[in-house]
Amino acid sequence: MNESTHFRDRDEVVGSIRDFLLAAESLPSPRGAALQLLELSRDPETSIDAVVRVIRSDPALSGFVVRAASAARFGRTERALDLQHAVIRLGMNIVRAHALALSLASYRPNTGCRRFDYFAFWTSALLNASVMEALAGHRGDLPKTEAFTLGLLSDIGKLAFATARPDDYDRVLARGATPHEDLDRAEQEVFGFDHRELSAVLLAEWGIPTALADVVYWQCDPEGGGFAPDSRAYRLACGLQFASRLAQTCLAAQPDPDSVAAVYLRGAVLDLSPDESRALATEALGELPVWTGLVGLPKATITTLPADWAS
Amino acid sequence: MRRPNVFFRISPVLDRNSAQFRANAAVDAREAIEAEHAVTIENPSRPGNARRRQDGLHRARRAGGPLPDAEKRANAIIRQLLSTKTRDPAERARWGAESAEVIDFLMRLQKGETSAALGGQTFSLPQAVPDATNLVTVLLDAGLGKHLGEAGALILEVVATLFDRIFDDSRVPAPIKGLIGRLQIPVLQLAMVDHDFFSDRAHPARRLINALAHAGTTWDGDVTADSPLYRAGDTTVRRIAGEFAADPEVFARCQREFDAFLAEQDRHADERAATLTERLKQREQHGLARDVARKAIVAPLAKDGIPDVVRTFAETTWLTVLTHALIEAGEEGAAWREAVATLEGVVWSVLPKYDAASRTEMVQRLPAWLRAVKAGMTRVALDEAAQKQFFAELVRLHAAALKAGMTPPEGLPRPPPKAGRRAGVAADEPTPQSLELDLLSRGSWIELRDESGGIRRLRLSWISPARTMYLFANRQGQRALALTRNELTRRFATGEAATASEEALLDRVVDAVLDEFQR
Repeated sequence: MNESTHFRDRDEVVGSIRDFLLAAESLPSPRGAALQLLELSRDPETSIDAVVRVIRSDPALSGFVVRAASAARFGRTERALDLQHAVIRLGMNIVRAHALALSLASYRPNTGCRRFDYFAFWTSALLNASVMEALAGHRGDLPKTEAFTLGLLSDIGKLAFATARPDDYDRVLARGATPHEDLDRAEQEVFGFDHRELSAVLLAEWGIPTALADVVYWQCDPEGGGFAPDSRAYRLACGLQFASRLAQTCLAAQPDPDSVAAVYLRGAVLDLSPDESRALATEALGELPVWTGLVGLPKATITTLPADWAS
Repeated sequence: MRRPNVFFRISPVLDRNSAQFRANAAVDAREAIEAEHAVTIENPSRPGNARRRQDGLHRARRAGGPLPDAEKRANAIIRQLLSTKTRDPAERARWGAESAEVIDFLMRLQKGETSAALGGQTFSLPQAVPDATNLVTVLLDAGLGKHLGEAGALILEVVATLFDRIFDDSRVPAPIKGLIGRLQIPVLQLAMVDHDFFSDRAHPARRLINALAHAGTTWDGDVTADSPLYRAGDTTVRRIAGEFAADPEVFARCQREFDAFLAEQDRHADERAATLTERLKQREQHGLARDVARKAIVAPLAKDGIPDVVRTFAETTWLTVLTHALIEAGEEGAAWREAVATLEGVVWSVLPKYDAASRTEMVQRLPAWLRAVKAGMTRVALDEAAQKQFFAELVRLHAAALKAGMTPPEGLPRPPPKAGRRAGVAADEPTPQSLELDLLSRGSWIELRDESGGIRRLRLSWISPARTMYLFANRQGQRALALTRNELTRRFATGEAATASEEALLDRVVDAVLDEFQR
């Protein structure tokens, strides 16, 4: 999030996003089980059994939820959870978010945005989520399930841009790919807001708690969000930046020095030594094939996080 | 009016025919002659001989003062001796050229005869005496003056005194005095026939004696019969004793050869010293560059709130990096500009970041700064562990800078500036010692006094381009000593070092003696 973001009125930005969403002919939309889960979540009387029935109707979602619930367990030494226990453990909000993500990941519209790589986008989102989960596990003071969900959906705005305005976003991505060009700035110039702002509004629209949407909104400049220095929201925002830059680094053919610096810098803010940051990266990268396999994504090519962040 | 110490010895010769002189001088001279006698019966070469003569003179002056006529005539002769070169035979005849008999007499002594007769008197030179025995004084005391003309008698006296002074000079090593002593009869003979010896500082004989004395005083260590200097001087003296026959050209030839020997020694010493100059140049360059680098870090470190880790890094590791960069390509070089910019960047990066633009800029620019820091550390061969430790500290400081930016600036505690951090480098004020150093040039000799009071004379062989390093070598070129300007200034200030007198021995002695005569 660059400087210009902070001098824009937030309500105005949110208003622009809403107009954008209303005018969009197509948006990433939950379908099937995800859509049913969203509807169920609006009914406070919904039983766990009803939710489990819907999830079970989608084998991919079932595996995803059980896996997520297992990963969220401390130590991972318990026997495998059944679906009902997995739903109870994750909670309705997280199950809904997972269903949403899986639904979106499974839907691959053939848009005119040639430069938007769906596989790469979801691989990055899953690695982001894995890093967030590993970070939460390492620190012990962040909720693992929330962390995973935030990582998974924090960049959903990109998918929204590519779906709603594929041609315009194709040009934005072309600009963003050139050296010294900032993707956020290009998005703001074309759409009036960037993909992180759009992500935050979309998450709020989909029923994700506003506090978490704020974290997504401020992930690029956690210090600018007005969070208390020791707050969970600040740590989550820092974690999101750490995770997204780590994913960016490890999924790139060549590590970007800025991203590497940001990884280690954010790691330091989160009290991670460089060695600990690398250990988290290794742990998350180990989980990535499991997640991509569940969603049906091709195996990703991984670049190791440089050990020397000044190199 | 002060009278020359030797005046009363020559005045009888000058005034052999002056009854007035005899009448006036009898009482005055008695005491002086008595004092003189006390000296001449001792070894005439004994140090302090000239001083004792002078004491006698002073007593004589107290007794009654000089004889005006005799003094006038003596002064006239001295003026003649001091006058510019004149080869006008009439002018020389006016003062009386010595007879062929006198020259032949001196020639026989020069050739090694132990005794020779002149005017019916036989003069014997003492045998088996030290080389630095004043033989001219022996002849003088034996009454040689009575057989010479007015000028000749005066010259005899002056030459005797010259050698007294030379032998009294404690700086000239005894073996060199011995060599010079072996030139007494040739010099006396030369002085009789070539009065330019007294007036012309560039006279070959004077230059030769000066060179011998100077080489002796600047010889590092004992001069022995095996010393190259002694061997060269011995050869020269033998040639003069064997070849000189009233022809000054022999002295000129020998002087040129001896000068060539000294020049070769200097060249050899310079050549050996030159093997050190490249290293010294590098040291100087390094020192100067470090000074500039030290000044360059003052401004970036003047900011408040800079963590000690970064200060220490700037004042140690980065100071070295800056120094190297400066040596590499100067202040206009990319390496220097980048090193300065990197330091400014690193300092800025650890200060609190209060706005998003600063935070964004920090993340964007950090990689380049860190790469430059790493490259600099590698260039100055900082070990890996130290590098790793600094980067670990730095990243912690960066995190702290981000977090610190979440609190409004007003609330931030500002550490007071550390004392002495901003102290500028005072410009060097010229001191008498530094001004004296500025006068030193290649070939200058200095004297270094050691703790035991011993003095070593060293020749300035090389001055660094920025005049901060001085390389000295001894005459033999066997020892070299490099001193920084600061150290040399200190030694000049404490008296441990001094510029060696450049005044040639004989010039000083001749001037002093003739000056006494004139007065």
